[in-house]
Amino acid sequence: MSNVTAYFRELNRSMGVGWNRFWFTPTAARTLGAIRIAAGLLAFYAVATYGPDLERFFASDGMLPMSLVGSLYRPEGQVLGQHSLLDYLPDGLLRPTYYASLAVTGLFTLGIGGRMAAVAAAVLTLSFFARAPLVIGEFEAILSFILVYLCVGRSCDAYSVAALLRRRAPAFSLPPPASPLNTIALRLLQIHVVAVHLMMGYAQLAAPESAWWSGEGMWLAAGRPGMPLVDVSGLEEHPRVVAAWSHAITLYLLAAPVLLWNRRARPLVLSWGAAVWLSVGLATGWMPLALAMLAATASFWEPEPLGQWAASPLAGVRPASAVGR
Amino acid sequence: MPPAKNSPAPPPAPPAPRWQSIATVLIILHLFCLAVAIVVNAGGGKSLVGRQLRLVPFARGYTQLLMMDFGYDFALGGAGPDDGIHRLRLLKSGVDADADGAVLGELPGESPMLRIRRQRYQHLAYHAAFFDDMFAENNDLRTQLPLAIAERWTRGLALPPGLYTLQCLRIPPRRLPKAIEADISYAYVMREGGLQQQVVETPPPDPINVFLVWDPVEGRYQGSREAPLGQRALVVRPAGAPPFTN
Repeated sequence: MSNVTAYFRELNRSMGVGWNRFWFTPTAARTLGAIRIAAGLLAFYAVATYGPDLERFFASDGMLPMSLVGSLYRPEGQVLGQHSLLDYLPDGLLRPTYYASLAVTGLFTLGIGGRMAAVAAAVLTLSFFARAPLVIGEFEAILSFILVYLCVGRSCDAYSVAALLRRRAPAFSLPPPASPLNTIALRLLQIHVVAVHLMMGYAQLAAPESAWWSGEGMWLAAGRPGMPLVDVSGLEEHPRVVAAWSHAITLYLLAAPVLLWNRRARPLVLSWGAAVWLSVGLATGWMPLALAMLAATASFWEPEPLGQWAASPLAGVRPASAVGR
Repeated sequence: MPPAKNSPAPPPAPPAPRWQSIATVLIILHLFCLAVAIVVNAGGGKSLVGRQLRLVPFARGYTQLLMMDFGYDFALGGAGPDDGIHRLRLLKSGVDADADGAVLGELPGESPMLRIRRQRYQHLAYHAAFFDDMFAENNDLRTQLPLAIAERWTRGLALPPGLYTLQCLRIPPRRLPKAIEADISYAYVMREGGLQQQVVETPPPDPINVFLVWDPVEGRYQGSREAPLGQRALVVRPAGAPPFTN
């Protein structure tokens, strides 16, 4: 009995040590800084492209009036739930809010404003998504969680205007220390993006008509008129190429959740992922989704190699233990 | 593996700072809520476990607040009825859709537009078809979204109040011929010379038509969804009756 007790005591101790090392080892902000720039640009693009349809989607007499959105997505009495700042705005403030959102996401992209800018950018961008839930899709779903998790870490500490100014000001030459908040943010991103990969792989295996089992998946994805950036209709005469492409994507989505955690396999898997998402983006025209997935998967990049080949005065953070070791 | 009897016991780990304990609880709660959202939404929400997990207090509200209430089961492409192209068209009422000038507007249209905008209109049209199916028993809910779309659209096109039809097209995806060769269905049809094999093609789903009528009293459009072919009624006017005026 004492051996059993000792076993569970040791198990508890080692799990606790492992948990603390996994979540709370201080990490530099470089990876988060890079993700911040990518996510900020994508958020800016997402909000900016609402411009031509602003009144059409968000006005009180638009295609998506609050009475409709409220009845579908805002059940009465729900304390939390989907909310948007735009729910409470009069139509006259729609344009000013739109421009203010662009300004905030721009500042966030540049790394100005710290966590306040991160939270403001996330709240405003998610407000646009939540106010018009009938016109959002996969891209907005991915970008949302990236923006939320960037609020946890200190993403503005690296690759930012603030970091640049810090390097140039002699009085403030000390870089910001590595922070466990950066680790928490990166780990949340990693776990979430791994879950997304797994669910997308499952969806492909479960797709109707066995579209991805037969290898037809990418042909169907690239078949929407007016969408592809690269015309792949010529592959109709090469069904084996289409099948190999589709199977490579499905295999990546199922293998990545496991292999990304292995340091030796990680560079290969990240390269494989980059090829997958860029090919999907070009063939389907869903480049924002592809770039959002790449930004989320970049949470597995290790800070040191990123800092070495992207040595720039903007990376004003001293080296720290890499995430994932 | 319990330590051997003669080896020294490992040093006790220092107590974790208080904030780490709080962070641990918050992280576990967050990951639990995320798992609930995924299980509840995956596969169209058919999971029996998911139905029970919907009852977990605050879990779904929390993930909805953070825009994380998704199953993330995005297949990227498929051959199902919902995976094709959805398109909205505004038509003159009572005119054949293929006639010249019948189509007053189309979303997403053929004119060049940013792909993300095209995708958003595609999502809007998809939801019009989705809710049409989901609220099949309730005409008010069924026409709620089409009416809102039509109100704004007719105003945007500066169309005079009148009779229009909002049509939602569901165009099946174009299949890869070699991939579906094995799945082609055949039927036996009686022809001269006996039974013959004939390829059975699944017809595309009928477009969803919502007839719009301007209500001058309420100052908005009223709408009704076109009934399926076998459920339609005909209004027969007696010969010599005065013409109908709007």
